[in-house]
Amino acid sequence: MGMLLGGCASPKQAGLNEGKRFGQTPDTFEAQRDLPPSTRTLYAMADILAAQGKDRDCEFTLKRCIQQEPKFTPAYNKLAELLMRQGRVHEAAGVLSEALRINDTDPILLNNLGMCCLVQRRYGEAVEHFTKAAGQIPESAKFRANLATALALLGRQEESAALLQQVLPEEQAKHNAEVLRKAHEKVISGPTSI
Amino acid sequence: MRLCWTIAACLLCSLFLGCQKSVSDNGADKNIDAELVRTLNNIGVENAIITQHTIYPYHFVTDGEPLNELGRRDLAVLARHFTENAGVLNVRRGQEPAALYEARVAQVVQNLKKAGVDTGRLKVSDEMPGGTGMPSERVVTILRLAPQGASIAGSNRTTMGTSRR
Repeated sequence: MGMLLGGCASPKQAGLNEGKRFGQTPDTFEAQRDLPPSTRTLYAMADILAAQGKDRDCEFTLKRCIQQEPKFTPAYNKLAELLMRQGRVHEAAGVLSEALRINDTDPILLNNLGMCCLVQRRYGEAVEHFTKAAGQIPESAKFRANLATALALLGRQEESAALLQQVLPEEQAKHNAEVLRKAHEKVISGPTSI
Repeated sequence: MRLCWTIAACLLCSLFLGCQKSVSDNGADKNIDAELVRTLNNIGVENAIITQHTIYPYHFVTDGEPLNELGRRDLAVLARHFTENAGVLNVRRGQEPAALYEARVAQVVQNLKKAGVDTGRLKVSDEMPGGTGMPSERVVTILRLAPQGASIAGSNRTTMGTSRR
């Protein structure tokens, strides 16, 4: 009992067990203690910083993540989310475009870039990105619904309604189609935000 | 006293092991749940595609005749359905010029053939006029499957060719 409790309380002991768990000898684990944090660690830290509202630190951490491992696309997504939250849509679109140069079929990146285009009222481009995202994961209701939104805002109401009917119950689909039709009317009538 | 400590230690160990098992079970359950939701979504979307039996302009590359990835996927669902069942497939024209629209219809027919839909059962016709002021839409009619053992060649094809509509 004493040993059990002792084991849990001692951080050094816990650390050694951790090393063993990942197939490392205690010596290897000790040697790696002074290494800089891995990309995954930084990425997890960015999550914590974002939850704490420390946006500047979070942005710095994510940029470091990208610098350290440029092919780690989730970091681009998270950075774009942060920038979108701050209203820096243009920068967010830039970050996502950069990530798509690494993996141009990533559906999450495509969907998020589509959202940026939607906010920037570039509906044609939004349709392109949402279509590609839905093509990668055809069963995704989210991607099809986003495509429906972009199509409706382009005035392609029939196509939009058809897509909504694929992913929503009939009544909800009709209601959403009507909301989108009104939004389109607002878009073409003036520069007020939708 | 020693017995009490031993029992307490055993209880603690069993509790600890119990918690570990529960955590790993939860992980597996989550995966099953996610896969189940994915499958149900897939079935739901596929059923809706079959019910609509329509190819829309968003299924094609912008200003082009080839189907995009989403178009290929949705048409594959319809092709699977039409290899077994008769029916009608609409190709919506939208605002596209006539020449592009014709090329798109040809693409759809070609893709259905590639997917294994019997070419003898395909019939393209202007059966669904859009009404006043609207362009007519092409309808690809997939004729009923021939009964087993019956020939589908030659003129028999036409006589059996009643669509489900």
